Amino acid sequence: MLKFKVFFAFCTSLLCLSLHVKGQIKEDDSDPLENIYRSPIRKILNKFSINFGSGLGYTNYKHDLEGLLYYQDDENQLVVDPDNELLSSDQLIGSSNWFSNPMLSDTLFNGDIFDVPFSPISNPVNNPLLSGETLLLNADSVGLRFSQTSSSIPLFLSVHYNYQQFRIGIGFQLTFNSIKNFTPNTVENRIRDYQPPFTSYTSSRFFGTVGYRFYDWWNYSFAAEIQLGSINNGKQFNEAFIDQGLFANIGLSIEKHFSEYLRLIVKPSFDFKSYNLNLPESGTTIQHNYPAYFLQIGFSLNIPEIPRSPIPADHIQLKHVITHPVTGVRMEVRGQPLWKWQNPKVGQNHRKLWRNKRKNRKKLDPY
Amino acid sequence: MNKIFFFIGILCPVFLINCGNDEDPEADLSDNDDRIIQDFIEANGLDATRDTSGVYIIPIVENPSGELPSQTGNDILSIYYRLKVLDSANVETVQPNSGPPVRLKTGVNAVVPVGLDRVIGIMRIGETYRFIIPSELAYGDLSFSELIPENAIMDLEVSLIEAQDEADILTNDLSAINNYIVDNNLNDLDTNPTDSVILLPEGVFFKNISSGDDTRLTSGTSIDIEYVGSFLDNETFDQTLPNESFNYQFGTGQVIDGLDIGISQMGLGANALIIIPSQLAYAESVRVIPDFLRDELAERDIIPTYAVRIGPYRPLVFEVTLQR
Repeated sequence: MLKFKVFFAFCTSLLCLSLHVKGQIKEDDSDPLENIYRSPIRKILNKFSINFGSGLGYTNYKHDLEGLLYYQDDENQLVVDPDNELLSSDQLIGSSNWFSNPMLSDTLFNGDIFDVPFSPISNPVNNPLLSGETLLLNADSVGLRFSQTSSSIPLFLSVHYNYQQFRIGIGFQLTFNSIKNFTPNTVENRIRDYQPPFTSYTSSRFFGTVGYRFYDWWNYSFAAEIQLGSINNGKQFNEAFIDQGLFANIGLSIEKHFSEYLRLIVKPSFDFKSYNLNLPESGTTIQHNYPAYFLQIGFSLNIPEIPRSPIPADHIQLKHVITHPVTGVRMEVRGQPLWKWQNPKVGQNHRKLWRNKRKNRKKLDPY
Repeated sequence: MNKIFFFIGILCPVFLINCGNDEDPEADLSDNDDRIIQDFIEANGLDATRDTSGVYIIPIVENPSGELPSQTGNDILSIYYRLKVLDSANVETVQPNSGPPVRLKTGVNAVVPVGLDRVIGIMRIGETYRFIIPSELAYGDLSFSELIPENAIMDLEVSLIEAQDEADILTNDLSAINNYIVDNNLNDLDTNPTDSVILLPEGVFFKNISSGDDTRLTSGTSIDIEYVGSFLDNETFDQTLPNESFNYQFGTGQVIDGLDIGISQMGLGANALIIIPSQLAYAESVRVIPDFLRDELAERDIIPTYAVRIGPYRPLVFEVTLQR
């Protein structure tokens, strides 16, 4: 009987205490939606998307030798200015490497090396040396062009600000290019392939980008982006002779949204660019066009405006407010990682549900 | 299904056999030529033997006791000849009544038609042979006006007059050059200044007309010269155009030896006469039978351009000015 009384008294006092305490909370607290800390830095950063990735490109290099003469012998391939004063005698001087670093050649003999007074040759009848490969032709009359297509690997990083459906930003891309031999558009005159002095080069570009997201479908969105910027092709291109223009790139960005913060980007795009190469000691310029097709694949992410919950035992799925165990600050945190949608519906996101297992993904009724 | 495979199996070898029989047009042509020649020989009752090269040989005049140059090593031959297209018109004749015999060197691929070079080794001095040369060893598909049609088989009758060696040629050259010096009064310093003709140790004749400076040229130096080149009969074969010069690297073997040897005696601004025996010039050059084909052959890159201007064993005279 005594135990009962003690117990009864204890419970009552507990109840009074709790009511008292409750009453105290009710009296002291203001609106629970206020005094929640959200980092202002994160809020600003969240407005910017960071895109990065790689891809594959194909570049088509072509140039026209308009207004020039083309000279070829066993050792040389040169472009010659037709106003070259040596041409009237059996000599000429031209520029080699008119792709990246033009250099004047030595004065070359352009006459017949089997004529008097040159040395005789042994076994003269039907000697293969006689049908030698020296030729000098007017590139205009032949319409001579050299071109080649080779691949490249881009690495890009860009940051843009999203406002409604528009995006504006800046970016940087490093492209690892390979170069093959240039083939002439005509082989009639036994013109050799032109071999550039290097097989690969690295170019870098800075650009500004503007885009518009014009269509959304389920978790996908489509945006058109335009990039405009300057490009630097590296040390192997002699800056002294090259006027590098701006480049322009237009592309279609296809994004798959994994969550509010993470997207996968697949972006086919087309690049327009060209540069002018000035020949040394000559007024002539060769225009090199090298448009490119790129397919870029990468990720786009936004820094989330609120962090994950710092409490390890906190398995709450939705965005919620907690008190930080260390600092004591009341803050809003999210319950899902970066790659999952926040605030999922009941049963939508649980990784252990049958419907979320890979083998069941196509079944209407996976149970 | 099995039956289909069976039939395919039977038919495949049939197709493959036909694949192997790809027509070779050149083989066809030489077979054709051979047949034509054999028909001609039969029709005319000739005593012909076929050489391994494909040329048919018909002896006309034999001289078993004559020297056989292919054995004695005197490979510079002097011949007379009569050239025809087989069973057709005469193309060219060089006979005793038309002048001296023509020289050629055998065995160094310096003779057109190539067929002649292959078989002339069988001839002794004093013999006359008739060679019937198929087109592929003659002029191939080259045709010349109406005289020589495409793919012509040639009928060449050759008489071997003399066989010499390099030493004999040199002796001939030296005597011809000496006659030239005498005939042109080159040692008469009143009419032909400045120095008389000297024979340099390398074998080139040098006459200083006007001296230049004291520069001694070194190998590899780029020099500009003006020159007039002529034969011993004063016929000019080449010269630099007015106000233009010929540029080359001295002493590197770019030009004929005789020219470099003569120019080594000159200072800048000098003017000199250089007489070069054939061995230090174009030596055997190319003997082209018939002679008028030279331009055509050079255009087709069959013979070098110098062979058009200069025939075998001709000494040359260069008047050279070495520019500053």
